[in-house]
Amino acid sequence: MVRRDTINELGIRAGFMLVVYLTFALQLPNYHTATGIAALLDGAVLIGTVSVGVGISMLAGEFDLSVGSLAALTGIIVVQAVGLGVFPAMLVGVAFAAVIGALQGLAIGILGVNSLVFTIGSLIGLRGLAMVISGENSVTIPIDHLDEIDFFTDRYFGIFSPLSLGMVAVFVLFGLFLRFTRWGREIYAIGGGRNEAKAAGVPLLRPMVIAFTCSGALAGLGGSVLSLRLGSATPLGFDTLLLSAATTCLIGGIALDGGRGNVIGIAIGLFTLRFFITGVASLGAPYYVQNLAAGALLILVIAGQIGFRALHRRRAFHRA
Amino acid sequence: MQNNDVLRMRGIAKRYGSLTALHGVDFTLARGEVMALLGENGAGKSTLVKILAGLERADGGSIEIDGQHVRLRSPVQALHAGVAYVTQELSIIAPLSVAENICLGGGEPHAIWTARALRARVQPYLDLVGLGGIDPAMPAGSLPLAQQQLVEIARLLSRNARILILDEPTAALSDAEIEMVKSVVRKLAAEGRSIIYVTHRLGEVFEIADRVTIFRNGRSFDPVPVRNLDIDELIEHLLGRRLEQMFPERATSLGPPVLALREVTAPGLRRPVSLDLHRGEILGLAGQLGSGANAILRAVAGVAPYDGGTIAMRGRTINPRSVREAIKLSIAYCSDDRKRDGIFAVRNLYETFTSPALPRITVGGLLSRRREVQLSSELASFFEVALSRLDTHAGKLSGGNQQKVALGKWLGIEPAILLVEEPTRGVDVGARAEIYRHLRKLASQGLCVMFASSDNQEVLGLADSIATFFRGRLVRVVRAEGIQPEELLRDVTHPDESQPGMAA
Repeated sequence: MVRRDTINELGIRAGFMLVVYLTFALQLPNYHTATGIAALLDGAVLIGTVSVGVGISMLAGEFDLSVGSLAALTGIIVVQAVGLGVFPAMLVGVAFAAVIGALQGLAIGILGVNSLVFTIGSLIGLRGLAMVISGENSVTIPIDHLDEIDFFTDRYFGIFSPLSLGMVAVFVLFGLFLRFTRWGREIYAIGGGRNEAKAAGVPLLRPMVIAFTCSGALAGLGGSVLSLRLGSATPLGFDTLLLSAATTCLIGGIALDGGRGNVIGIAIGLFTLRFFITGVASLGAPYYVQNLAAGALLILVIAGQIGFRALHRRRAFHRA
Repeated sequence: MQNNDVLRMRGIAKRYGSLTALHGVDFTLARGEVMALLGENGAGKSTLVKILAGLERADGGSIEIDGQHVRLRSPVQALHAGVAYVTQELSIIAPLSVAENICLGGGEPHAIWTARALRARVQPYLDLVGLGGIDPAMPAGSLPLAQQQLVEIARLLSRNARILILDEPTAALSDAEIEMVKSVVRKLAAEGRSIIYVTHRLGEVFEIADRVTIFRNGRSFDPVPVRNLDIDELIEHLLGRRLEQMFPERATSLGPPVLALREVTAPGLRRPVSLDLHRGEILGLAGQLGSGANAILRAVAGVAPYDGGTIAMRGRTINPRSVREAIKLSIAYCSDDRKRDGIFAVRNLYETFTSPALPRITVGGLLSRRREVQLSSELASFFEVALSRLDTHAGKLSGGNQQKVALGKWLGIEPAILLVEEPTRGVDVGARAEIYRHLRKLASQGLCVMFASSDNQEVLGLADSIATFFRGRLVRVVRAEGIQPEELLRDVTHPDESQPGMAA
């Protein structure tokens, strides 16, 4: 696939996203007000942040299934540590999640086990740890600290909250990291051709550790900001986060076998999904219909992708 | 000794199980020279270069580079010592850019990789390999194969490789692409780098090599300067004395034609091919990688269906579009990659043997254990695989036994035509003779066998008729008795150069 094709593909995905947006915007007045857009953005923060992490693990040809459990565990830790102040607590939480991620990356890289197998283990284990730490109960921010989280409702430029700005920063930073650093390109390399990368002398362990550190840290970040904003965390939270994040990445064109896709695609996937789900919800559909719709959307996009690629291959073949 | 030797290997020995690949081989390489390595398949040349590249460990011997004793235990260590290995299977990461492919895994000091910085870094190496005109930011996977190979060479140059091993670099390339690779090789040698050039094409030796080292049966001969050689001498060196007793008697008479190819075009062929295969005949398709010999088998087997001409079986036109359809026509096809599709490595031999013929061991939709044992025992006894081993995983067997299983399982469908690619690749000498004997026995029972092989000795010894292939076209079809080894070798390596010993 040449670069022009990548850009074309992103263009098609973005076009599809706009079609979804316009379809609902025509029927829902609040879809194009500042408040409506701000709500859309805020609603996308958690899944968006975590999707970038899951997407990075997919680019490396792996899959981090543990993000939901890790987000819940980090949420508990951050809420319990909020006495340190909101930002120090967040820092502790994200650092903890990053370390867990790095350890997972190390273990997967050194043992050479399939990351699906390994992270099924951590998915279960980390959830258990969250239970232990929280004593099986929700934890809440003490009342005397509640005013410290008021800033979460601030607004900038009419549509951004601190959270959605944070998410934008995550997309930009990790986008640049993946595109323009050696370590980012190594992640693509081990996902796009592991044996070839090895033969070329790429160390396999480093990109593996970096990828899982990113997915761990971003899961932790998503878990902590959400829990802080809510003022409470439960060890059973974030149970559908993994599936939403994976759906986002797949709609955004991150290849399941690694090496293909980018952060712009994840952003497009994120908003396609959010526009669609919030749209369906605003039309009055109950949550299970929303799930049905999200599932159908994913299958539609994947099928369209396969058809499009087959068509493209045939054309390329006839040109040659 | 001369200071000019950049590499000295002494007494390199290597065994794979019962098979000795190298018996204490010596090998030297001078600075700035192109050394061709020649030898038949299994002669030991690829084992030697793999040891040098750190991909295999020698069982004995020593390696010196620039007079320093070195240990080459991994490709990374080899690269540090200045040795780089370009295989036929490329290690290009398709989705990444040309520049990234060159820089990844190297000592690129900066962490921030912009297209511009990388371009500046890789441009000199791209120029060096004649790719100065391409955009380093384009995905490497979109380049033609030869250019991907050159990108890989550029990558190795960027790591300061002084000894470059090119393992059959031109096998899969077109003529124009081959010229490109050759001119790069000459340029690099002129720069003072040393190149080990493994090839089957004798013409290439005269065109680019300074000296040639010949391998035969795991031993090497002293290097000979190419200017002192002509092609006939080279061929004589290469073949040596052959093992006559290895091969069974040929067919005394052939039956009527069973399979007729007329003006067939198929993927991998550049000219239409016409061939006949008779009842009881073993037809050998001789040719190197990319010659089109395998393409014929794949077309008949439905793996890569043919797109022009006709293939008729007993007078009826057939057009199998898949292996499944070919099996229905009683055509069995055994590929050259038994690990991929010849055996079930982690299933036992009962299952592997019976896999193509499940209807035969099924009663009312259920597998019958009794019939499974019976059929697999029958097939195993025919190919002399010990019945006691039927319960072991196919992957645990030796290469020879695996090949017997991969072949034997096809007898279950009672084929009329058996197509075999490289019947004895990775098989030791003893098992080879057995496989030849079994194939002959099958032919004498009325089966038609068509095999493709890059091993000329095998083609000469086993086949009744020989079709020679060179770069996608059929050179000629002859009776096996009517062709000399030298002629065959010439046919498959440089059929168009009528005069031997042309200038380098």
